[in-house]
Amino acid sequence: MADSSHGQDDPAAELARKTAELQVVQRVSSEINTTLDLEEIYDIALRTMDELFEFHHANILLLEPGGETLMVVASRGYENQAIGGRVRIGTGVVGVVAQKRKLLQVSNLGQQRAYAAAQRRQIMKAGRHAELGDTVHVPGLPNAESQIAIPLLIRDELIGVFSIESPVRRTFSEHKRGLVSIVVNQIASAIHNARLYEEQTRTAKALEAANATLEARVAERTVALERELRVAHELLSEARNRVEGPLLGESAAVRALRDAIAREAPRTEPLLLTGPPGAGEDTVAHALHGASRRTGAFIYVSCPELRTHLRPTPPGAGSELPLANKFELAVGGTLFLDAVHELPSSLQPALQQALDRDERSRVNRASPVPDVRVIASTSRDLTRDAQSGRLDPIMRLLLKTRIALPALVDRRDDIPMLVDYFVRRHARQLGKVVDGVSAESMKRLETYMWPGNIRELRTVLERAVLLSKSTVLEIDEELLDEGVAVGSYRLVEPLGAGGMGEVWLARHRLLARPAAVKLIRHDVTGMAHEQLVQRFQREAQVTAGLRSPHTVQLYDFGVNDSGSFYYVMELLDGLDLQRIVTDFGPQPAERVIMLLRQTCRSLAEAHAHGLVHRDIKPANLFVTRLGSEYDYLKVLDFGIVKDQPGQEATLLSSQGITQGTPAFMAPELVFGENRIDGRADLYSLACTAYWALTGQLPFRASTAAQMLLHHAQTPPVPPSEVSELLIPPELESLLMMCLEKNPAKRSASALDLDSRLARVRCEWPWTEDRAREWWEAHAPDIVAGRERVRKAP
Amino acid sequence: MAEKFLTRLPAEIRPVLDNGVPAVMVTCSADGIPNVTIISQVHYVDDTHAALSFQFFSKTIRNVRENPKAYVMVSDVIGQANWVLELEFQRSETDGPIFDAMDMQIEAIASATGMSGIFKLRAADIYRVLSVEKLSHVARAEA
Amino acid sequence: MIPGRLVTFLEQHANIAMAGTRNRDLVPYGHRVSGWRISADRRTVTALISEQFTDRLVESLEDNGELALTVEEYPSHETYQLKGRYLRHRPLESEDLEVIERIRGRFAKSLRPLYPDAPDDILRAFTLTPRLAVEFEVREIYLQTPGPGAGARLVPTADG
Repeated sequence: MADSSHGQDDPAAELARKTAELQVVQRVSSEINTTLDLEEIYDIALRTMDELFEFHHANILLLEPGGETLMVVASRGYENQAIGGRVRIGTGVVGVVAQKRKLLQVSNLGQQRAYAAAQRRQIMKAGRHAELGDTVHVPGLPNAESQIAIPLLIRDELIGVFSIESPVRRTFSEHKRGLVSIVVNQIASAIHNARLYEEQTRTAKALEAANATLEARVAERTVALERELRVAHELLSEARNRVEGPLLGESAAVRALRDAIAREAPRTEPLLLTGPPGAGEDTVAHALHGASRRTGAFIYVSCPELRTHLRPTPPGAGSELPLANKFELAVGGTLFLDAVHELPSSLQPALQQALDRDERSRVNRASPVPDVRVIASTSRDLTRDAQSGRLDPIMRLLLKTRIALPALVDRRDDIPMLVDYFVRRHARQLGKVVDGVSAESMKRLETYMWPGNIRELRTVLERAVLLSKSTVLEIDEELLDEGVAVGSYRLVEPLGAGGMGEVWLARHRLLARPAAVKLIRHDVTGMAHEQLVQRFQREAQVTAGLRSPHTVQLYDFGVNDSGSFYYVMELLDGLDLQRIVTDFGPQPAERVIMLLRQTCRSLAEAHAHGLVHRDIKPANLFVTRLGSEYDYLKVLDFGIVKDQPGQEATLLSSQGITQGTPAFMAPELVFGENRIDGRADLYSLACTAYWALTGQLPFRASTAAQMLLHHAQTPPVPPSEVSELLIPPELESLLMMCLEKNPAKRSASALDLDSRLARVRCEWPWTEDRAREWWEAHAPDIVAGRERVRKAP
Repeated sequence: MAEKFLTRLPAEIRPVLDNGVPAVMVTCSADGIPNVTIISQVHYVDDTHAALSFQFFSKTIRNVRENPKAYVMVSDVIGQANWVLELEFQRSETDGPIFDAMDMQIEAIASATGMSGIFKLRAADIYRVLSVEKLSHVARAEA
Repeated sequence: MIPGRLVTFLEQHANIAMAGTRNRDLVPYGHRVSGWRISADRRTVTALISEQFTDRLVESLEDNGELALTVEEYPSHETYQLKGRYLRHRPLESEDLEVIERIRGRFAKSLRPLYPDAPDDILRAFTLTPRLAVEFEVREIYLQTPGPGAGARLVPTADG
């Protein structure tokens, strides 16, 4: 059906031809619109073009993303595969058609190319090569003479070009060009629809995949968020519990405690927390503060620790009172005085004044006082004191409002919850994985007596977590038997601490006999470990050899796992002389004499064995209740005892300057003389007596060196000149004699001193009754056996 | 043998205009010197107009602007006829559909032959057709 | 004088030519040229005008004597235009026919790639039978090969 000829056609033939053309066009239309498959569409298009126009070479090119190039997607009649070939927009017939979006027919490509080539040669002959570009290879017939290229448009938007070529010169008539355009338009629509369909299918699949990925990510994120939320809840709960702590539980006792807290929290009157030790008093105090919505700080004061600021040794330690500062810090908040019964007597007036002022202000709406809510705790049984009228004024004031904390045994139902809490907390702190406690162990925990209450429970569980090697804790009897093992003993609770180490209440594993264990830090001196061990053993053996009832008994000694030396001594109920004088003031002469005589008997045995104590001082004279006897004195701390002449310094000498305590040190010790005998102890004992009688040291100094110098050369002032108490002259003479710088001028021996002291006449002798009365008045808990010893350093 | 002296371009000349081998143009300057040049194509505008491409300034271009008369001959090799067109220069177009159509073709060739910018339609010169004459060969008769 | 290489071109390569004249009204006319011959002294060229194109030729030449002859090698399009003054015309001679035959052969050969299926005589028939020989003195020769240099005068050169 080519229409390259000219001249008149037969009208009938013309009609037939046109009818045939229309039929082809109709067929193409129906075929091409029944498929959405691109390859099928291409095939129909090429076939139709061939049929209609007898152009045996055709290309379908589609615009590539970016809009710069067209690519051959379908091809017919080319020996060399044209598919994949590219044409740049604006290059060649196809490129110009794409650029201008108009049909182009060229019938004399050869001539045109020749014409252009002639010009090119001329330009090159003229040496103007630079003006020329490269000849571009375009996909198609290399020597095509005729070409017609039609743009594929969808609403003026180019999607590609349909190109047909011939190696001979052929032209399309106007009619043919119109027909070509109709067919090409249909092809364009079909291609467009098919590509849309393909894209939609691809997009739907991609969307499906993206949805699946999104769903998976959302699920993953949800899990992560849930986990984070769980952790946050746990942390929050833990933070809450850190404050609430022992307030965990649903027992009746704890519920009542919570009610009491809720009731008392908003109030501002001083409040006393009573209960056994370790029942969680500081936690309850925190809870009260938290529930009160007070905006100020929670200030904690450990009353026992306040004592350390008042110790006479070492000298020059200063005497500032931190209590006033704590009050200031607690303005607007809460001041918690833990173990208020331990508050030093010298500080009690200040506290009382504050509480009185507060009370008056509250009652009279008087001038404004610092807004401090005072909460105090005590483990002392105040009932008896209240009944006997021996209650301190402070206690009287504090007792007006109180909350009683239950002992752990009174809330056994809460033990599992508390166990779970402490175990998880300790495990987290120690970085261990612990799932819980075995059923048997839990039973053990639930039935144990818990003398140390929650504090003890916490300690036991902490130790158990630390030592556990599996995820399920086993709490055996040993762990419940008060913790750290020292030899055959287990440490229960600390009784005091000093420069050399700590003293613990301990219990024999098997005998359940209580004892005092003194742990001595092995790093106190610079000696090598083996040397230390040898000396320590020697000294312990020496001490253990002493039998005087007025010398503390040594049960055992050794070196524990952490390398600390330890003594196990008899546990004494009572107070050392330092506590007695510090808390209750200078003592009557008759009592001092009684105590001195007991000391002399202890020293006499030691001296007879060739041992010198070297550190006689009030803190080492322990006044105890032994059975039914009161004011039974035991000399402590023979640790620095040294064999008489010729022995080297012991490892237990403190601080490296010299042995003994400066305030009570004999001149010959100051000079570091080798020939030291028991009379050095007598000198120290005299200093001790001086202090016990007057509340003052023989010499005043601001430094240890000054003190030692005084001992070496300053004559002491007679005690009667510094005290208002009656001191019998004979006693004073004896003391002054023992305070002589020259040992030869002192009493010859401890026994001698003892016999001289026995001859001192007292107006009012210190009797057993007096002793008992004193104890009942000043340390009733010790008398009752509820308190072993005030925690003394 | 001369045939059909026409004043309009007939349909049958259209393929010849595209395929003319070669097209020749004769012009005359104002001072009477004739000029004969080869032209690449004669573009059918309508039956009374034809367009010739103005690619570079030449004697021809200058001549028709001095003396609008032009003589163009296109040869139909297979049809064995020469067509003679007497034209008169009307105007020069640098845009519009005629220019675009001619430009597309020229640019198609130029871009593929590295001649873009050189082989370039500067203007489409529009001529009015004064007469059209078909001169058929008598070669067959002779041969 | 026609340069030697141009003589070579004319005699061995060019295969199609057209002459142009104008009448007294400056109306240009074209005349198909079937062949050409260069004089021995290379100063004149004789153009062999095809039969169908002789109508207004002599009239125009006798009026003003101006003649332009453009000769091309097809399909390379190397083209030169010779301008000169009409001298005389005459009927064809046998040598003229030989020249035409050679040119006809050359041109038919150049058309073959364009019309691979066309009968040979059709292609040969393009070179028409001449009827008149017109001699003219060549005064100027111009380069006419398509391109920016078209129109450059080759003869006479700048220095004559």
